[in-house]
Parts: sequence; structure tokens; C-alpha cells
Amino acid sequence: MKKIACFLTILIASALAACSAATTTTRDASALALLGYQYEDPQAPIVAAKGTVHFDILSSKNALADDYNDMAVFQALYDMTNVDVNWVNLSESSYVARKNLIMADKENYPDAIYHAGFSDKEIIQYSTREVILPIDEYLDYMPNFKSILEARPDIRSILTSPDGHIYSLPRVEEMGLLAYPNLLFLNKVWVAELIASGDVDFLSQGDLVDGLDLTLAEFQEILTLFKTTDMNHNAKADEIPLSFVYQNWQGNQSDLFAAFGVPENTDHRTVLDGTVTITAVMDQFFEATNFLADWVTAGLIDKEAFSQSQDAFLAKGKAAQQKLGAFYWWESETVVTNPGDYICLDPLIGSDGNQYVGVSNNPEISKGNFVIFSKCAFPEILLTYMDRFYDPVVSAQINYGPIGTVYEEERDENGMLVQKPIPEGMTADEFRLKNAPLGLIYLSYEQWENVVNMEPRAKLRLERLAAHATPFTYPGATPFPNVSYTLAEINKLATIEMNLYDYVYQSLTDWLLNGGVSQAQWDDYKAMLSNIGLDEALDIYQDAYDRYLATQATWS
Amino acid sequence: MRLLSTSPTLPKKKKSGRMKDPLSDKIFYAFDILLMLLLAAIIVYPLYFIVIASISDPDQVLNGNVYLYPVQVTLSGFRRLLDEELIWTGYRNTIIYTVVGTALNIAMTIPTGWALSRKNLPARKFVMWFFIITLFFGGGLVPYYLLISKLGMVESPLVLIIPSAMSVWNVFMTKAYYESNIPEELLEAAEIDGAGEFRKFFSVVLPISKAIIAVMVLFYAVGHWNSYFNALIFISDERFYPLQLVLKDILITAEVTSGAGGSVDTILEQMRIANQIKYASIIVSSLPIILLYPFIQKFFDKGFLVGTFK
Repeated sequence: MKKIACFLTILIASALAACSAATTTTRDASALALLGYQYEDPQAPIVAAKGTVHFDILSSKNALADDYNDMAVFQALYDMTNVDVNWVNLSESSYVARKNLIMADKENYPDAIYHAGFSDKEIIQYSTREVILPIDEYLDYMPNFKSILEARPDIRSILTSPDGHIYSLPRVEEMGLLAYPNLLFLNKVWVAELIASGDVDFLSQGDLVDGLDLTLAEFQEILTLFKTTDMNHNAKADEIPLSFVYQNWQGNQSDLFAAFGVPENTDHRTVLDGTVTITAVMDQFFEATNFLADWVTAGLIDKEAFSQSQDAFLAKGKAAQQKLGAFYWWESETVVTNPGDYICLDPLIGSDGNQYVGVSNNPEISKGNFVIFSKCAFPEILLTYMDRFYDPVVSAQINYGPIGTVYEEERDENGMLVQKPIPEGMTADEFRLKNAPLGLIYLSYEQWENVVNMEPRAKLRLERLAAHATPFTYPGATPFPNVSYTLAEINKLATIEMNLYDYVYQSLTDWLLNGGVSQAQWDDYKAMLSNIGLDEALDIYQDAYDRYLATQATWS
Repeated sequence: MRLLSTSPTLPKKKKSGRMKDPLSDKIFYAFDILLMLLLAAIIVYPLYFIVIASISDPDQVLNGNVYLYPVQVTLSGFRRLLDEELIWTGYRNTIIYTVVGTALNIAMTIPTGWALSRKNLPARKFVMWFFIITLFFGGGLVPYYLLISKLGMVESPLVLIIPSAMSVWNVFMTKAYYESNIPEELLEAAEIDGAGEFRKFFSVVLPISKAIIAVMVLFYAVGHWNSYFNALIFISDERFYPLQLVLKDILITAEVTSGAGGSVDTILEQMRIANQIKYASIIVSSLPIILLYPFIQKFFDKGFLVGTFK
């Protein structure tokens, strides 16, 4: 019996040894040379002939998108690089449900995951188990990505894990839009009527153009008149003086708070002159809450603003008789059926005479989008292939769709890609999602100027923001970037953050809807927040932010 | 949609031909009827709302203008839904999975239930406990996935049929039915006539099992029709998607932002599309089962009620 057991162990051990021996031989440098691998010329094929190397990449895809294997973008890349990629597509919801299962099924790992959506925690977990490869060790094989990191130490810093390595590839789409997702629109037709009837005496008809400056008191007076007058002449009191979507990532309540000198965003967290700050404990926040609660009580702010979803809000603007007096959103065109009747206001003038807007933390650089597994036989080749995605012309096609379908073959006189008209019966987004895989791209300010035209809507937004938002940025306020935390920090934050933000959310909503907050309640609230661990959380944010700055400094 | 819970059984009123009801009884009945009507309304209204919302303009639905009758009648939701090619392959797949799956379920469940109902089955206790344990303890999702992966059924449509070939709960229901509905004498008579175990099952028991078979068919078929989770985690090829998964995919895309979800407008547009077809898809997906229901309902007294609660 013992003999048999002994024999079995030897057998298993030798089988295992044979296995590992077999896998190591494939990662031989001479194998690369044999394939004719090159990475220096980013336009030339990566391997000499088609059909010699093959990778399985798992990727979630939008329900509207074609199978990635059939996408013209990827077929063109195959012709250009000779690298054969078999895309294994999952639907987005399926991927979310399966991610952990796929990561548990060790024997069937793919070579890489695209649209991986890995969190900091997952990256740390799988990198310490050496399941995913450190990409920074292969930077030399990635000329485009390398030059991006050299030019942009901030991106490098965001990507760098606490152990100093980079484990995932980023998506960078910088237009300078996401930090300012709120603009205030006012129904000028209604105001014009009020001026004509003499109810509003502090404005003249000529004032009703974009960029109008109103104080809080004046705005309040207009909203009150909207509330009490039958502005849309349907003999029903259905006018909504001011609406937005509470705590939504765009069109939220933040700028109302900013009027009181709070550099507010929906996270209640911003960076002021290098110090991470929680806005929800500032004295001005207390003042603003009480002031705005009065507006809610008086019916000037739509009560549904606190519970409605984005689409419920957007549906409001589509009523047969316009109900909206004023609203916060990025653009009036999405919200109302008659955008021409609305003007875009400058930020409201606070009681101290200042006009401020806060900055949002919506990141334009996202990480965790692509990870490569250590079982991949030729990481050099695959990463050189992925590196091609960061070529501006490829990036544009990845993001919007291929040349020939979405873009004209010929560029315009400035050498920019020109978009073809959208086929009948499809919306712009359907057409885009069908043809473009999205994902790894690098489109920053320079590319918008030299390679790709921005969408007209994005241009319009930028113009409006430049006129009515960015110049009013709260002094010293910058977004809190997408920093990396250590595992200890992540675990600590996990216990604190949820309670903290839930409590702030509950308290703030309660106060706004129920007439405000007393000094005693406010003191209790602040005491409760520090009990929950506000200071600890702030320390962690500050540490992570300082680390981010330090890494950035090392590489610049 | 849970269809089984939506059939309230009205209490049987006493026929009162001989004697006039006293006033108190009348009040009681009036109140009773009112209460039942109210209950029925609570159950029926959401269903009615789905129907009218599916043919109304989505913006009107969101604005809360639709509650009693359709507003701005449009069939665009249905048109949009039925234009989707995947809906049709999903329909086909679901029908295949339901028919094949249910056939296998019945082939497994009825004989097992019968066998377990026999006191002379060898190792009966052991088999029962073996089954019962699986009712209360599962390995969890990850081991389940690894098991299926080792069996080579990931990405194979078989995964939607084989792992769910038999539900222990339903086996016990069948067993209870047989225990209380097949008189021992009948079997003895068959034995005296020379029938073996198989003969007894096929010639004597099966012909009087219509009720339980019908109930099992309904249970399993509804289960197959509504199931999506196995497909969600094991199937990624759209050609094999069941209908529910196709619908879920169309509806849920708006909620998932995998960093690649695209621009604001993309998300908003998707939400609008989703809203437009949400109600239509509920109707499209549940209509066939609703149509199946009346045919099987007549067996319910006998099968479902006797089988479980006695």
C-alpha cells in the first residue's frame, strides 16, 4: 500500500514538473525572434506573418455593439499587426456577474481582459498572487504608451499601485468637461413676461441673454413669481420653478451650495490648495442648507428633485406645456423641447458678492481597463498590440468607429478625421456603439486639436463652460484625483466611507426637505461624523493624495 | 413575473336557499366581497398598468400622466422590440430549453417521486436524506462554476438543461401525491394479475397521474421560461441566449458603466430606449406562459393542493 502511494506521489510530482517545463519553454527569447517580432516601428506589423501567434482576450461589450471579432476596427488592426486576437465577448451584465467566477477558474484564464473594470482592491489582490503581470516591466515594448507616461507623470501616478508597479492600462478622454457638470438655465420667455407686466423691475428685456448675473435674492424673487403666476397659461399650477437631480453626477445641487462659498461637489470632497477637504462640515454648508431648505419649503425647488431619476427629470422638460422655469444640467438641448427659450446664467451671486462653482471629481482618466495574465505566453507581443490602441488615429476609431464607416477615408485640410453622416433610422449613439468597441484610448487636448474633431455637442458645452463656469472656479479648488490606495487603506475606508456618506446623505436630505437644521442638530451631526471616523478618512485621503503628488514628482 | 401567486382563490360562499340571511350576515358578505374586490384590484392594477404603459409615450409614463388609460398611444416600444433580431433567436432558444428541459425534468421527477413513495424501495431512507441535504446546503456559486467548468459545460447550452434536470422539492411533491392518491389495493390487484414493477408503473400508475404531471409541467416550464441566471454566468454567445437574458441585456445596459459605458448621451439614450421597451418586453415575455396557464389550471385542485398540503 505504502509503495503504491509513494509511486503515485512521484508520478504526480513528475507530471507537474513536466507541465511547468512545457510552459517555460514557450517564453523563450529565441521564440520571439523566430516569429519576427518587432516593436520599434509603430506602423509596421508586429510579427512577420499572420496566424503565428494567437491570443484570447475576454471582454464585456455593450448590448448594441457588434461582436468584436467582426468589428472593422479590429480587423484593420489584425491586418496592420498580424497579431491574431480571438475576442471572447460577454455582455456587460454577464461580465459583472461572472468576474469573480472567471478569476476563480484558474485553469481557464484568458490571456487578458479588456474592459476589465478592475478596482484598486482587485488589482492588489491579483497582483500579489501574481495572477496579473506588471505592465511597467514591458514599457520598452510599448512606444506610444511609454511616451504618454513620459509626457504625463500624473497619469503614471494614477496608474501606479502602492508597490510601485503598473498593472492596468488606462482610458484617457480629456476634454475638460467632466469637472464642471452643472450649468444653470433660466426660461427667458417667462422672465420677459414678468418684466413686461412690471412684476420684475430689476431687469430689462435687454438683460435676457446668456451670461446674466443674478443675486440669490433676485433669483429667489423670479422663482417665487414662477411659482405664483400661471406662466405656461394652462390654468394649472404645474410650474416647476427650479429643478435638478439631487446628487446626480451632472445637473446636481452643488452649485447652489457654491453660491454660499462651499466648493461643493456630490462627493462633498475636494482639494483646496493641496489639502483634501470635506465640504459637508464647513460653516457655509450649514448656512446654505438652511437657506435652500427654505426654498424647498416655499416650493421654489421641485421636491421631486430629491428622488427623481435622470430620465424622470428629462421627461419633465418634454411636457406639452413647458413646466420648467429654471434647471441645472449640462445643456438645455437634452432637457427641454424649446431650448431657444432658455438662457444660460452665470453662477448666482452669493450674499458676500462672490460667484463660485465647485469642481467635480468625475475622473477623465480611468484605470483598471485592461489587465494581462501571467499565463500569457508572449506578453511582449500582446502589449505591443495593445499599445497600438494609443495611437491617436486608432484611439479615435476605437472610441467612435472605423475609418470607412464612421470616418471618411480622406482627411480634411487640417489633417483631421472627418465624420460621415449618420445613416437613416439610427441615433448617433446607436451608430457609435454598434461600430466602436470603446475602451483603451488616449485622446487629450493635443489630439482634439490635431487628429479628431470633437463632437459638436461637446464643443458647445466647452464654449458654455468657458463662459459661464470655469472662470468662476472656487479659488484653489481642484478635483480629487483617481488616487491609488493600499490594501490597508482600502479596508479601512470600506468600513468608514459607507457609514460616513450615508449619514451625510441622510442628514442633508432630511434637512433640505424638512425646513432646515438647527445649531444643536448641526453640532450633533459634526460630532457624529467624527465618531464615524471622518478624521481617519481624511488622513487616508490626504496620504493617498500626497503619495500621488510624490509619484508624479518623481517621474516629471 | 411570478404567475402562481396571482391567483387568489375566492372563498366558497355558502348557498343560502333555504333560509333568509340575517342582516348581520348580509353586512358580512357585503364587506367580504368588497375586501376581495379590493384585493383583486391591488393584484390586477399593476398588470393593467403594464399593459397601458406599454402602449403609451414613454415620456408621459415617466411624467406620471398614465394611470387609468393609455396616453398618446404608440406601438413604438413593441416595434422597436420586435425589430431586435436577438429577441427572435431568444424566443426560439427559450422554447427549445423549455420543451427539452421540461421533458427531461418530467422523465426524471415522476419516476423518482414514484420510487420514493414505495415503502419497499431499498435504501429509501438514505436516498431521501441524500436528496434532502441538497435542499438545505449548497456548495456556493464559485464551486458550482468550477464544477460546471470541469464538466466542460461552460459556453454550452446543455448547461441550461442538465444541471437543473431535477428539483428535489418537486420530487417530494410528486412523492406526496403518490403516497396519498394511489391506493395500495390497486397495486395489489395489478400484482395478482401478474404485473411487475415496471408494468405497474407504466400501465397502472402513469395513467392516473395526469394531475401531478400537469402541475409539474407547469412548475418546471415556468421555471425554465423565467430562468436567466445560469445563462448569465455560463453562456456568452448571443446565439444561445434565452429570451429573458436578451431582454435583461437590453434593459440593464443603462445601469452598467464599465468605464467604457460611453458618454452621458449614450447612457441617457439607452435609458430612454430601455424605458420605452420595458413594459412591452414584460408583455412579450410573459404572454406565452399566461396562455399556457388556463389549460393546466383545471388540474390544480387535484395535483398541487393535494400533493403538497395534505
